[in-house]
Amino acid sequence: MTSDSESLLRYLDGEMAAPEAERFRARLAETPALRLKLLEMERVGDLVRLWARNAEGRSGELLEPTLSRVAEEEKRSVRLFSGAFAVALVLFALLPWSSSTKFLQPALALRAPLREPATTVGSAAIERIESGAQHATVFVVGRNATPVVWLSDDLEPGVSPGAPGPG
Amino acid sequence: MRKTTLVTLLAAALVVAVPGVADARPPSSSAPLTQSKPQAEPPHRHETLIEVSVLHATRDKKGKDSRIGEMPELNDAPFSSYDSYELLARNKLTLVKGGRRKLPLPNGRLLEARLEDVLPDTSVRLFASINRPGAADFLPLLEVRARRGQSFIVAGQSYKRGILVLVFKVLR
Repeated sequence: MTSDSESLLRYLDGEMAAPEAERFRARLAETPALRLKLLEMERVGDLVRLWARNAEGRSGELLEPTLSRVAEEEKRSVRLFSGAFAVALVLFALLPWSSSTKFLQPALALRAPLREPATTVGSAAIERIESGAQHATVFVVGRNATPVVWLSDDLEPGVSPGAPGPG
Repeated sequence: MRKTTLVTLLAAALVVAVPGVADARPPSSSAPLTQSKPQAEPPHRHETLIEVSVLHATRDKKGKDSRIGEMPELNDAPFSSYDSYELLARNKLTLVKGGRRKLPLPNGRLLEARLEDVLPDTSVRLFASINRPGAADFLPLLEVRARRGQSFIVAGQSYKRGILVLVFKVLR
């Protein structure tokens, strides 16, 4: 900001003492560029004051959406914080040294069967096989390591799985 | 406001988690939880739903039946040695714990499936067998542990110049 602009602002805001204001008016009289600048600043000031008067009655309407957004954001932050804290609280309470584990276990045990697994991928497990007289080969295929039981059949020759592997 | 909330929540955490404080609570406050009557187990705890797809694998150069759907395992050896896969049947079997379901196979054998147990981690233990009535056992027993969405395959039975591929999938 130039010294002229600063002086103009102080003059318009009435911050100049009387002698200084008198000297500034003399300078305005003999400086057309400074006078023009004063007029521009007065026009801008008028526009701002006009907007402020018009906006005064609608201030709530203008400010409400912003305030609402701010309030909602604060509530969301509190909810997120509370949720995160609740999770931390449960984890903390489940630590082995916490006697509150005993307190929480019944509730968790009741809920456990109701929970669905987060993901369904993974592999089943062949735990036992009795193949009788047939030759059985057990291996896995695919990205989910799907177990396969391949049984040789005497009725017709099939393909031998050999040493299969993914891909 | 946030600091106040934080302090309040931290105080609550200490009451719940610190051993001494937790034990100092009146017995009546924890009694409803520790002595509450266990809820009835949901119905599906004693049953499961499996899908059995019966595929016919041949080398007839017919490609893969579109009804089979996504089954990337067929692209891997030894399944990839067959160039034709046809879906012969697809059955959904509801297995009740202790009960048996039988499914006739195209080659005259009989598939028998049984739900042996539902484990605490929601996985199921299934028993399967494939036999021909009046003939020697082909597959007397196959015990599998699987969870919802997991599959296992029994392949190799001869059928019409090819083999049968039985794909089991636990749906529920």
